[in-house]
Amino acid sequence: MAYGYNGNILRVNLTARTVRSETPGDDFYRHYFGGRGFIAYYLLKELASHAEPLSPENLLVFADGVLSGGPFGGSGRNSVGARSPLTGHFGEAEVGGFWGAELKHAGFDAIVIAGRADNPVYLWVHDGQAEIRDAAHLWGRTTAEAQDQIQQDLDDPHVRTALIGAAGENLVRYACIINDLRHAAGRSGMGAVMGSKNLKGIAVRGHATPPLADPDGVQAIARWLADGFRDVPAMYGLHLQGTASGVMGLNTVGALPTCNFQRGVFEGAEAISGQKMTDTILTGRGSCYACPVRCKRMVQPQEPYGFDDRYGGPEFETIASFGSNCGISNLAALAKAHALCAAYSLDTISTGATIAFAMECFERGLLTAQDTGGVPLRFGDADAMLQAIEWIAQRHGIGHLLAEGSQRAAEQIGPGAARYAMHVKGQEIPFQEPRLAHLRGLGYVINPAGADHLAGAVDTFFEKEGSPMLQTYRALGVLNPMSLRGYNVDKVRIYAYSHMWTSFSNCAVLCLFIRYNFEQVTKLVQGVTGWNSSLWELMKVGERASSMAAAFNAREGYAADDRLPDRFYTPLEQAALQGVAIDRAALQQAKGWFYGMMGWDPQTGVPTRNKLDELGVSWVADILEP
Amino acid sequence: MQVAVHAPGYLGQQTGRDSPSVRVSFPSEATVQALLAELGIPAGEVWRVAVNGTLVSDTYHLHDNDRVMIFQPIGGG
Repeated sequence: MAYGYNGNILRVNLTARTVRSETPGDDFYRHYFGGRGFIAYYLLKELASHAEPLSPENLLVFADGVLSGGPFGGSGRNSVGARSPLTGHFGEAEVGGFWGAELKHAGFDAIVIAGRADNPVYLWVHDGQAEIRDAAHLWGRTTAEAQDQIQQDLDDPHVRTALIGAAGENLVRYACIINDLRHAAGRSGMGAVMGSKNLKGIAVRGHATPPLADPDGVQAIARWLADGFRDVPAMYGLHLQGTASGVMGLNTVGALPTCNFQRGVFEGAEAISGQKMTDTILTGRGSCYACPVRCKRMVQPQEPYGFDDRYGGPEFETIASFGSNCGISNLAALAKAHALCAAYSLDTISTGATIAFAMECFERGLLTAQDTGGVPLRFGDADAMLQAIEWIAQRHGIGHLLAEGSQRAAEQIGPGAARYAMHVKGQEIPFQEPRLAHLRGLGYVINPAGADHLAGAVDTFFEKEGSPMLQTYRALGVLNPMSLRGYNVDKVRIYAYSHMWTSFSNCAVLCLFIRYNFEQVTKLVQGVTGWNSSLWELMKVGERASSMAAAFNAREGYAADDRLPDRFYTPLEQAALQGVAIDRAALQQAKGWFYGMMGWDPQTGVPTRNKLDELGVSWVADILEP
Repeated sequence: MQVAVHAPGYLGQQTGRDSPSVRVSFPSEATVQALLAELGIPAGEVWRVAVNGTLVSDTYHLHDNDRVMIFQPIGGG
């Protein structure tokens, strides 16, 4: 008997309009675990090499993990994956909320979607059943309008939704998928893949929870979190101010990305800080399934920036994206930008970064008012920023160009623009300044899905003797603190370990903000599944999934396509980071060390046969070397 | 001497729930290190401290009406 999961994968072919369930067996779950593992498995096994990301051939995988839907904080998440239309690489996004847990309770562990519907449709998944339903009346509607209509059509206000808005329908390359109106599967353009399939959304409802092998053991850890999160600063800080609590700290050290990463100090930082949000527009703290931390923000719109407050409020990345990095200190406008992105299904990181890129191009004369419909697209102009979001979602005017992402837009703007496009592998860089924590720069370049600030834990968490993260990692043999700057083999070793662990978390699909230690997570896996799992096994799960994602990129011809924008090799000029830059040669050397430690070719980053054999996926090596 | 401390996440036990700020009084001169000890915050759990907007070390001597901010590392969001 399986504990913790259903054993059912839902297979959907939109071209043939068929649905069926398959049961891959217990070993599949233990080996690949869910999330990234499932996505990599299906993309390597079933997606033809070089399939166009926005063609019917692409596969779109919604994947829970073995832990999803369990009765403890951090279990409400799911992953979404496909070949990315933004990067062409392995595409993946993780998302919180309730939808992931609801899918598990509806009787399925993942949904694999192939083909393209002739007309707009949505998928209705409920209590072991699935059906494809007409969505002509939903096409063109915002995510909130679509959710309202679906709940009305199904006569159930508790139906959970994963939806796209106009950006997904219009194939904006960084369109995302919105769960429950205010949780975004943000990165890699998964919403565009959904739009290309004429799939407006997936509605789920379930009433059965897979049994747990050891309910008391699981409950003990859930109780630890509920009773104790206020005593863990990292979690209590998130509860109080959300991730926006980081704005002032980063600005003080000179690492708050400002005006397209040109600077690290923003004079308007206090006006967009977590404290300012708490003191002004915050109305409540939202949650994900079964989580007591409640790190999500609920906010009150301020005139003239009205919006549907069910979209929730902005987090750090959104605040930095549309705020400091666009030179904007109007918090009410940032809340509006967040809501527009949720309504239209736009990734706030890529959207803000692409607008900041356009603003720099405008200020440097590479774009003119003629290009921008007469609107001066300058840093600091909140109304121009909001207008740009609308244009992008609708592919109107210059929005059609910016909807392609900063890399492709730069190619069309012409010579000189590429240096202002801040991306890795075509995916816009999040707002964690790599010149502050140099391992962040390494993480941006090695991650198979492109720039991602959650590819591993970085230097800032290991800087001090006694830091909680260092204490946790002692269990992996990491004994000493590290400095923020430069690279050495010890730092890269720690990054490799943390990359494997975060990769496991993306398989589980477990929230990284919940500060379970390794022992607690191992016990959760044992308690949920009944397996005699060890930390070693879980690390291998993460390593396996990341290596499979890298192998996917190699199959698509993207070996050694890992580099940072030149701007990060140029020193910052303010505050504590004055004069600090990443050393290009040192990063290149660190990348080789990382690849080597992962069992990937040190030059190309392609996983070796020996490593893939050791990870129990020789079939992946056979794909790379037929 | 009294200083204003803003330390989201660190002050749950000291100030009651849902407040990240507190005022702390000392009979005489005190360092940042002494302030952290007074608040029961382990120094190893603190990433950076700023006084009146400028980064300082643990041995920095506080002054009356200083505005102290205690920061955690951030990694996501």
